[in-house]
Amino acid sequence: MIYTAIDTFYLTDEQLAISPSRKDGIDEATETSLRIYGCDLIQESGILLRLPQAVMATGQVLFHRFYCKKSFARFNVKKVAASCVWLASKLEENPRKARQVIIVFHRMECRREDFPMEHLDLYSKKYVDLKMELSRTERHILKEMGFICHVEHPHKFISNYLATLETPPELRQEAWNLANDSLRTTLCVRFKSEVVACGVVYAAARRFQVPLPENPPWWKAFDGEKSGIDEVCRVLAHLYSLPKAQYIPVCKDGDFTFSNKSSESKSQSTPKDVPQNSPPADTDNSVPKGTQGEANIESNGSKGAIVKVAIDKLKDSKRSDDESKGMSTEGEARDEPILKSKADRKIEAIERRADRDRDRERYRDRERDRDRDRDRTKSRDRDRGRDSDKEREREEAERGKLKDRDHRSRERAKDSGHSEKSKRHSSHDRDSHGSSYSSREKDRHRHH
Amino acid sequence: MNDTNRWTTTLDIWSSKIGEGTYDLIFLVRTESPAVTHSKFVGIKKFKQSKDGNDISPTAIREIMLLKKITHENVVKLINIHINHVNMSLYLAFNYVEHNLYEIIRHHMDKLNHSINQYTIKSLLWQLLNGLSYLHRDTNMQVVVTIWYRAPELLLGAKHYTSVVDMWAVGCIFAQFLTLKPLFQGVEVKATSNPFQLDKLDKIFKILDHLTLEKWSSLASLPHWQQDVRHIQGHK
Repeated sequence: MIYTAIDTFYLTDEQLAISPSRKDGIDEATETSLRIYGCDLIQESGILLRLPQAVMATGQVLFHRFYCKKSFARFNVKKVAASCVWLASKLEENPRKARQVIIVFHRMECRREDFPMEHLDLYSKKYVDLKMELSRTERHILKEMGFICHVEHPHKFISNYLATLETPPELRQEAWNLANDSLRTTLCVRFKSEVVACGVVYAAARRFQVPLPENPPWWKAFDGEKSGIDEVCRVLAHLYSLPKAQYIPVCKDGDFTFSNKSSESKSQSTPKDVPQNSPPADTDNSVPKGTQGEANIESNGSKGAIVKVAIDKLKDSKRSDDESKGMSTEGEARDEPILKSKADRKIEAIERRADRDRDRERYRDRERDRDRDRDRTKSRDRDRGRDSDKEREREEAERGKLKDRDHRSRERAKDSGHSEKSKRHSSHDRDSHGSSYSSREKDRHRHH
Repeated sequence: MNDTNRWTTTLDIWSSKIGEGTYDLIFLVRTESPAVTHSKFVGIKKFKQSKDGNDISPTAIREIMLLKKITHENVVKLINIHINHVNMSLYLAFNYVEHNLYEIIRHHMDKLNHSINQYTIKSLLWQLLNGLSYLHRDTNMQVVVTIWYRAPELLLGAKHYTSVVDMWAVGCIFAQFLTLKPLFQGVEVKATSNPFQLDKLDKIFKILDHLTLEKWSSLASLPHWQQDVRHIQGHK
């Protein structure tokens, strides 16, 4: 922003405990999950809209602030996430059209909630209504913020702190990743940016076992408190222990969708689900949805786990025959103990790979990332058991993605100054996944 | 909320549309408050709908954010913001300013056909500088200006600029007080998002001579100096 101002939007733990959502009967775990989900949407949409990372950071802070004043039961998380990205793009002087935001959110919704991928008619009543909702929600956000939308981010302080402390260079990337992940939590409305910055520096130093001055304590020089630092570390550890956030419909006014056909498909599915036992059905559906929803998210820590789970599935499917594959599917549906045991095996496999991964060098990590991309493509290919038309659509979509990547690389090549910043953001986003996962693994070991 | 409801319900529209600017309609409204023995006037601006609908422009959001933080006798006061709960339309209430600088200049040109008194110029300029000093010191804010008052480095695409650009603007306004005509009345080309405005630069060159690296060494770092230097020099 052009100007600086005092940041005054902070809440106490007591105020957070009686949030508007809590008063509407939404429990803490659900609110936490919805906050993470909304931030995932903001992050992913920002990437698709080719926004600088600062826009997604500002959008996520506005998102958390808004739900400190309004309830998830009365303002749909998808609407608010869309308007927060839109508003943040204006505030950070990278404005995007409402049309672009709506198209991106519509596409993400189809992908994440397994709706049929449809073309959004820009001249339909649905589109006009979506645009109106985007604008109305933006005004609600501005109203609750009192039109004071200034945001300061911990990233701003990290480089200075690390330079002052004379730490090894690898700490910077780790701290940056942790700061990105912290935006999915309510740390930004509980502590000043300086405190969150001290917290992520502290966590990064512990992960890399880098000693920092404690007599006198280094954080005193940066306006930090040990209690705040400990809370930042605890909140991040809790974040990494959570499963992948899913969309949970909690609105009192009925569910909202960017898509048209969703209501029909849901109305069709509803009568079927009612007589049957819904819990096991949900359990079966949750895995594939998570896997699919996971595909486009780069910076979420839990992504690594799910990606590796997918890799396990690939290997299993390679080994077994078609018949045995079908039988195993039935087996999964029938017996829960089998599922649990398999889950345990997967976790063990993940832990083993984590150990191996640590031994590998950076260059190998890069190659590994490429291998992952290949594996993802393969998994997508195998998942295409549906109509050939849909397969073609997906292929076209993927081609579009590849073109986008080429286009991005060209843009970076053209503008050297801009490319540096772009590289920073992109590298941070990519690495944050790996290091976040590593952080989680470390926490597990501590727990053991 | 109570305050909002209070001044909302006691609004007495004194006059219909008195002006138009960034916002759609501007009303002169008298308010009454139990705490005040006499009424006072406020100007109320209703948000103009952009061509895309109810989109609030980045400029408007930024302006509102800034005005909410400002309290100074020489800067217009944003009293309140009201959002209609039914249609989410937006209204801003300001201290009513009877005359703006443009009206004063036009008045002297068209009606009086006489230059502005030097003491009046001194007073106006003092108020302008006093308000600007407050903005620079307390809010670290630069003022975005129309093209007539835009500094050369902005026209050449500078991304990192300082409050010096405001001093340029004050100088242009000062000259306009003295002569009743804009000093550099360029025509802005709005078709492109390119900040480069050759016509405006040409107006500056005619009065202040051409830009050269000898006079202004940091020219080399301005984006459009690199790209358009031949174009600029071709207008000598």
